[in-house]
Amino acid sequence: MSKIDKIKLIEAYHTGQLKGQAKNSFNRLLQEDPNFETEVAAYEPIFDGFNALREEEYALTLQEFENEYQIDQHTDKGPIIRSLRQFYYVAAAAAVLFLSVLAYQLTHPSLFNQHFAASESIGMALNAHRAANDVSHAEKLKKEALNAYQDKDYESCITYLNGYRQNFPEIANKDYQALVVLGVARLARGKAEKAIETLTLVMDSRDSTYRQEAEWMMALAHIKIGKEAEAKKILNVISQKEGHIYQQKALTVLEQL
Amino acid sequence: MSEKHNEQILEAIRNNDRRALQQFYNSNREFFFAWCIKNYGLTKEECGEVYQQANLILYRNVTSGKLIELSSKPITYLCSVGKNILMQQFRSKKRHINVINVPIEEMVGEEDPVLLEDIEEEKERREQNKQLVKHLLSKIGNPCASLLEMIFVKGMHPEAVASALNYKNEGVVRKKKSYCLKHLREIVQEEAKPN
Repeated sequence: MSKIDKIKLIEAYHTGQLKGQAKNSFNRLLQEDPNFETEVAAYEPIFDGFNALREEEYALTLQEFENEYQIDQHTDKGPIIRSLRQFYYVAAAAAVLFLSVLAYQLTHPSLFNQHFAASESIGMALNAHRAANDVSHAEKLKKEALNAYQDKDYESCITYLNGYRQNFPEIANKDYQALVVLGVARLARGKAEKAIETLTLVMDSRDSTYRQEAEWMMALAHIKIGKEAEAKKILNVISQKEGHIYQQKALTVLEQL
Repeated sequence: MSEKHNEQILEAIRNNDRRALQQFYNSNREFFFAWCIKNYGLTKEECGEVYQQANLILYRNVTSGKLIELSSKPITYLCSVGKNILMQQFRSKKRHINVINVPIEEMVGEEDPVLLEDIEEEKERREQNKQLVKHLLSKIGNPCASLLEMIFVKGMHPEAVASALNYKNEGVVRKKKSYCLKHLREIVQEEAKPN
């Protein structure tokens, strides 16, 4: 049995996929070859480490599921019909609740969570991209990434866009739509430092198509890592630019900071 | 709930099928929270913590091959894991539990040893191994680091990896994977040698 075949067996053993003939071969080798037993043990920390990293990713995904569940619960409530007297009580209660929530939000440190959302303008551009047929490998990678983004699977989106940048750097590093999507996806996964790296490329470019999006996300990324002074600088620029799509939001966040 | 349904859930975990996993999370959440509140008097926030931990342990047991099939409904499994988590926290005095409907025998009963070991005793070892793999991936560089990360961390199918890394087909990915694993092992051996 070749060394590579042995590695395949060891991998199957450590990932719980050892069945049938492979299981027999594995057990036979364990008995016959003491070196094989040593190798099996040597790979254990490696596979264990991979599993720990995989779990770390899944813990983030579970948190996303919870956030999305709570958002759905808030938006799915249908209309409720009440008598006029009940309406007054409800309105009074709602006013108190609203003021409490407002007071809470004004003092709450997590401004990022209040304002971060995947951009609709990117979403529209993705739909246009989806219609393309007969795509090259680079376009196929980008398309996979954008599909993952729309499905809110930000981790896969990051993986595809990293592949896109690694394999086609000459195209990908000038593809500002892909870069801004990568920045937002990284931010969605809590990787604010990495997001800043990517968004800087968009902000420094001559192409202004995605600059406004990048500026807004850059401000949020700085809030996320606690660099409020940096965030304020960017927000001031946005709030002073007439016609900037995030002008109003920037003013709101500046008041909250 | 059929065996087929149970198998579909385990497959979704093995394949990292986000859509199916989210559906599973949402469909069991309400029951789990009600069970937690009714039996242990936890707040919703506390139920959320335990629910996420229980889902994570289900995921760990399936991806590590410890759990090959479910003999009961998935929600029963989640509640059983949730109970063990709470019992363990109760014993280590990390949490005061207001037991409402749990018989006292259950409070002092034996937990599943595998689960408890996973929660507490192996934490440190797993953290060390995680740091080891991070170090090895930084040493091995690309394309091996990306390939191994896609397969073993992100749980991507070899076909998707082939597409992402521009390989001809999934057969190439499988070959490269074995080669890269061998290379990782060689780095470990090399670093273990005395200077």
